[in-house]
Amino acid sequence: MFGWFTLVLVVVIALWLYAIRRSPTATSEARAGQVQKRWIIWGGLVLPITSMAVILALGIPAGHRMLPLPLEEGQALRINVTAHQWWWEVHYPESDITLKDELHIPAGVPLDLHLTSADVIHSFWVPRLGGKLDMLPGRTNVLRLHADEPGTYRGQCAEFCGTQHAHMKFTVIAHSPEDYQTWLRQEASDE
Amino acid sequence: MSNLPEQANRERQEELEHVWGNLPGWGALAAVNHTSVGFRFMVTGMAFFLIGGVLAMLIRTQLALPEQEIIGAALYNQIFTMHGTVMMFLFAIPVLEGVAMYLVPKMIGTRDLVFPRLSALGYYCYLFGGVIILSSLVLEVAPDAGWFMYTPLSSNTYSPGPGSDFWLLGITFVEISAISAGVELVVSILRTRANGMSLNKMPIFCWYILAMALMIVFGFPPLILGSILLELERAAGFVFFETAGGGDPLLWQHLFWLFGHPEVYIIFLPAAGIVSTLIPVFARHPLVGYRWIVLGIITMGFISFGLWVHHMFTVGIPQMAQAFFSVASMLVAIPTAIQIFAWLATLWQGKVVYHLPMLWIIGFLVVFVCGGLTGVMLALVPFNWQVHDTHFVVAHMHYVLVGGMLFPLIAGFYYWLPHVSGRMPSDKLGRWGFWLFFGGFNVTFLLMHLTGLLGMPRRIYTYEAGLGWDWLNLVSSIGGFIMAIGVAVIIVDIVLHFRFGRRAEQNPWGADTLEWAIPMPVNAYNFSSLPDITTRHPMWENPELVESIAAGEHGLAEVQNVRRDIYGSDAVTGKIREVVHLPTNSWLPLLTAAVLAVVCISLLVKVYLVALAAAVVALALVLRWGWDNGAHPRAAPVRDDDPVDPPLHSRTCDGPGLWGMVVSLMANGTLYVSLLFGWFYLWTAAPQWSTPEEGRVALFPMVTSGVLLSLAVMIYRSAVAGLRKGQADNLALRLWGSAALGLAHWCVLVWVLLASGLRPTELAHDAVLTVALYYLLLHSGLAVVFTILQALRVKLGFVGAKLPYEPVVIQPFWVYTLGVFWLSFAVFLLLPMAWGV
Amino acid sequence: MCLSGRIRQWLIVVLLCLSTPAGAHSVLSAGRAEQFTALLGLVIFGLVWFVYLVGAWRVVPTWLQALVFNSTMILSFLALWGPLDHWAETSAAAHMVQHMMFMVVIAPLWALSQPLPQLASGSGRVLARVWQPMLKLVQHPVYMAYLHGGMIWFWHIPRFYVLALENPWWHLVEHGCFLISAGLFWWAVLKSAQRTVGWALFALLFTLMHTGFLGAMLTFAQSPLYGAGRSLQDQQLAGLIMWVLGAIPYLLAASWVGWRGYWQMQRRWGG
Repeated sequence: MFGWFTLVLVVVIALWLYAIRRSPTATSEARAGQVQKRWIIWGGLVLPITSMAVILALGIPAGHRMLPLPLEEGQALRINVTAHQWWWEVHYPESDITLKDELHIPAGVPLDLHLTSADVIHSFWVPRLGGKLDMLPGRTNVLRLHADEPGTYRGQCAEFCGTQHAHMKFTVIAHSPEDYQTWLRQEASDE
Repeated sequence: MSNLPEQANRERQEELEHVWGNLPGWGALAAVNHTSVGFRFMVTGMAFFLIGGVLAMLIRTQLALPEQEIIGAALYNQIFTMHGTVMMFLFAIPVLEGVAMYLVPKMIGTRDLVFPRLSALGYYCYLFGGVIILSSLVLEVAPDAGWFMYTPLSSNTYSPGPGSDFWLLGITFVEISAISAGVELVVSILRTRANGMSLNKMPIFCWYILAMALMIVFGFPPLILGSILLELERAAGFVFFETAGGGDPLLWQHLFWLFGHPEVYIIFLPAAGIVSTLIPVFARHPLVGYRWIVLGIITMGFISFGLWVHHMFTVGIPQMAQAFFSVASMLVAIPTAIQIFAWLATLWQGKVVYHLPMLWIIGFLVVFVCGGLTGVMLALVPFNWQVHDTHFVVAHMHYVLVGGMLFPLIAGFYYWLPHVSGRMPSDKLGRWGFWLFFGGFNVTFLLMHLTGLLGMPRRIYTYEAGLGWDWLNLVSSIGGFIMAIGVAVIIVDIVLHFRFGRRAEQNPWGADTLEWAIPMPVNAYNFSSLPDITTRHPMWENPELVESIAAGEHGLAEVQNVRRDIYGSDAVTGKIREVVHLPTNSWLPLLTAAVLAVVCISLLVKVYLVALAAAVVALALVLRWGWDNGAHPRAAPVRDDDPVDPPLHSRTCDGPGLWGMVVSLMANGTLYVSLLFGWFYLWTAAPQWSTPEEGRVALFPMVTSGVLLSLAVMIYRSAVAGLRKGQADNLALRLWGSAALGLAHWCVLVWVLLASGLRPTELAHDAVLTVALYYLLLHSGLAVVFTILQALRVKLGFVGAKLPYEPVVIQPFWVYTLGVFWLSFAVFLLLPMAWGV
Repeated sequence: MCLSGRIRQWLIVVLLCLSTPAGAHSVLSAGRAEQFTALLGLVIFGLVWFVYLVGAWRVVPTWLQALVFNSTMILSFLALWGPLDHWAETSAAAHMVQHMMFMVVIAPLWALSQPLPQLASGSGRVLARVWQPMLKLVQHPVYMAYLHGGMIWFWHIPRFYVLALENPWWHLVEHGCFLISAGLFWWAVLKSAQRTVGWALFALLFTLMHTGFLGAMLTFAQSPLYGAGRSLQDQQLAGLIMWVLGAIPYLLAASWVGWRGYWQMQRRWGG
């Protein structure tokens, strides 16, 4: 995508500069009209339409992978995240665990995060794991998250939410499935 | 008329200057002349630009290094909110309006805009509104919820200070100015073009401005409505955006982006108009694909209104929406590409002369195309999810807005400078300014794309070291300062040129449009006689116009009865239809704006009685201003030597006033439709919407009041129908009758409101209903007042069989009021009964 | 000529409105009322086409007009009796697609194909009286837009929407309203006179906006509006179809109206 757009940018600018430098030879009216029409139709209609078709063809399937579509088998693990000014409340409905500013997840398993807010609008975002989704008071949005590798990921509020917006961060810790079960048991026994 | 002797011609021009000129000294504040007002808009806008620029410098200073605490979080939030607000609302739109106000009458071959006092009022509203908003920064209570003021962050609970109030009231004040300018530009372009300038012979710039003005008319009302509702929620506790009680914070986002999306094009279109004007001049070749460009402009306007949700990708719109919106958001690339390639083809066909403005045009191309392409990427939803609300978006936005607006604007400034000053800008300093600005801009924002891709969100006042953002931010900050130096050089260049610039010859760039037929520097009346137009390139095909216009060989060369006269012409063909007499210098616009500022300030400090009193005074001033129209002795009293063919506009039934009324009602109607949308939206989408057990508004009195209103309108219409036929039998009586019925309707409606027991502070349902009733009361009340004044004017002889103009202008207002009443009745009262399944 | 052309155009609208409602439910579906209305629709549909073909024999249309008209008829047939109709019984989105087909595809194409001379010639001049009163209406694109808008909103009020779903006769009325008002609207807009081009654009903008509003509401609604048993996702999809896909014909029409208006202007005043 970037490559194609850079090419378009460079070519358009080069054409402009050439058009400015070039000294036109005298042409007939009809010929000039043809040249004009060609520029407008090819550059103004064909170019944008084909570009759009190409990136949509590539982009839309990519977008669909991020959707909480029903899984082929089983159910995605559900975690509730509620944003507050300026911290995150993470709740595991199955095991009734509640965490603050920390999200433990099993790697390699699709998750459904149910996002909402207790006060103003926030936005849930882990840059390395996927897109962001707003957290609105009174509504619940569902984000499908999928961490391929175990590890630690940084997350951040992405919608301006007041004075301490810059410090509204959290950590996602993705465990291997076995470690996750261990962690789950440990947490449950602590509660 | 031909060839007056030299001496007589000079005296004639002196008289024109005397009639059209501003008052001396402080009297200049009473100026209504479009040249003065347009120029003031531009200078004030540039002043706000510099303030916005200083705020930007503060932002870059704070972000230059990680973990800095130079500016605290609280102040930083105020600064970035104000930077966005100032640049969008106080700089970009007003400056472009100023350019349009200054240029349009000159390009269409007339002497002034069609509602001169409205231009002056618009300017003062803008000035006072801007000063009020900025004063919050000085008082350290500036709004700090971001320039799009998302609720609930901007609501009372989370922004208790007066900051948000400053924003809501100040911006509304400024927007009134924008809408008045919009209305005025639409009517001027459609109704006061030079004789024979049919729409397809109009300079392309005017097409762009026409589109911009119409988009202002349709685009701004939703935000004004949103601001009013949010202010009502903050000040009076009405429920609109609070989830509890049945509001929805997303409604604000809808209303805001209903305005915000067209706004981008409102800013881009006039700037593109500058590009389309300059390129043919420097290419020495008529614009290629004029028709295509006109089509592109229309399409762009339409597209911008369909797609506000474009900015709300991440609010959790239903999942299949993605693909739809990606396609739809990208559509705008087509009309844009058409324009870019039409410009390219013009350059291709022409033989380009290279001057300073061309440099800025090339800068525009590079920066804007880059911004446009990142825009197409952003339209791709999965990508948008990743970079939305990061510095990538910040970079994209600046590429589009600075590239699409500031570069052409500065090109335009350099191009039209000789027009204002009669001197040429310096090539050398100008080039320095360009390269510093262009270089600085790209250093700042090109890298910011990368910062965003690396995950830096926007609107954070500081960040940790070691995330890969450090050097990028530092370089961006350095670039920012280089850009600031560039701005300084440009300003020095422009200021110096007024003194040291080389004297410009007539039409220095060899342009094709009419504004260059005016002597330089510009005079108060533009054209000493109004020419006929037969071509789209008058100055290329008839360069002798310069002399013949000055010699008074064309229309309206002589001043009549010390009056400011211009031609009114047909909207499509441009054939002359009437002589429009314009008002002269007036203090009323300044006074009205000052009183409105008192309203605004007293609302801010919550002294509501003063606000109410001041609002009444403002209304009285406006009515006073309307009093001096038509056949009033201070306007155009009936005389034996009144022109007959074409007649004076105040003796006709289809003058510019009617057009102004209709365009204003379009804006008003958009506001009302936005309210209906709010009602339906809350009804279906608010998470905790609830309706009271039974309807609180009494149906029968409501119907009674509606019948009274219908009768009032019927009588009024019969009076106007008579006037149109030249009959004024019982005119005063009918007007009084209509006013009396209207008043009765109003009283019943007041009773309905008082007896309804609506609880707007508890239920969103009741809050919307209350606002709707206020809206109806305001309209029928105004209609009654207008009609009473008309009846009085009939008695005084200012309105009558030969003077039908004013009742005709007011008629659409009555009809609108009636339509809105019954529509409201159906939607707010009948619909809920029919809702259930 | 222009006048009688308009009159003829009206026939189409009237006949089509009579013919379509029946189709909303398939000929094969249960219930006598439904069978009757469906059959009636099929007969009228066939009759219109037949009349056109007879008329085209006498008053030969341009090949383009004939092509547009006949393909629109095929399209209408598919929309009314094709698989879409079957899906529309259970899915709001499919129902929306069907309505959108009438309102933004079939109606404008009919208006563009200008079939009235053929229809008038094919049917004798009897029917001209029927549409005479409506003749003046199409000179006011904005009023037609208000009328069309009123119809659209009225039939999306849950009570009436459900009523039309459950009762085939009301369904007939519903589709009649949609088609008549859509036909009037598109005719007024696409064939607007030189002086009303500006108003035609305004009418298009108005329609674009209010259908967008309606689409946005359906998209964002928190619960199914048309019966608790229906799928929310399906309703959202219906809203999106109206909002986004439905917007595209209006955009195209705006370009077309602008282009046409410009040509007329250029022909008359040069430049």
